[in-house]
Amino acid sequence: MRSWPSFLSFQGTTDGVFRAVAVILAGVIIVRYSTLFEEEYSKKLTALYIHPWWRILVVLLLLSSAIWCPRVGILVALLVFFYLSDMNTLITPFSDL
Amino acid sequence: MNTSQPQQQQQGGVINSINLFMMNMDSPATLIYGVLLILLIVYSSIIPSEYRTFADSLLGRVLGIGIVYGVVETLGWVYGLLTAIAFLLIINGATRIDTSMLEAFDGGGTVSEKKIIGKKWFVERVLGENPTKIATDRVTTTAVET
Repeated sequence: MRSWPSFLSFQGTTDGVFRAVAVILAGVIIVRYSTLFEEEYSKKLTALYIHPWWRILVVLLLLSSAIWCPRVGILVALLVFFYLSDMNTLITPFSDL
Repeated sequence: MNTSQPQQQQQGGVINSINLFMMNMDSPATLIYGVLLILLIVYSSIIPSEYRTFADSLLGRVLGIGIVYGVVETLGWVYGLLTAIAFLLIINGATRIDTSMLEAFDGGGTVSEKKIIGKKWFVERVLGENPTKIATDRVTTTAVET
């Protein structure tokens, strides 16, 4: 039987299943929200952005994801980048864009 | 009582775990670099536009990509990922066009342009706009017909 390449293999363990679920979840969020600037984030995410501790938690989420699994880390990195850049653009005065 | 036997240090599981954690930790310099990166990402929105414009130039981009590559090669891909995100967030906020001389309204030759006289409007002060000319100060309206 042909097996997946090593970097795509999640193996059959519980950890592997959780990694696969995290990858699918992050992929869906990226396609649904992150890649569309017009698609608004939830009010909680918008309101929390102005707090530095929230942004630190977001970066720590990225860090822990990357340490846990490179595949999850890369997708979460995309998520975090789109979220931070979108919110940064939204709070920038129109004249400065 | 014979006390000449060598004393064996007993260590619990927690101490072993802490020792293992301390042995596998990155060097202080690397950790400081990581903390600085996190702060750079968190406060990327307040970086002055001059730095952003430089990072978005040809030299800045080449330097940025070189730094990311160097970090990946020396400190590992996790630090490289953080560096790449910080770099992207910096150039993302760079001003693409010079808006200092750009007006939103263009008279187009058919409308007489007027110079700015007096104080700024409230919305101009809030948004930090510095208009140099006004295309028109009159609006033609018509009654709604039902």
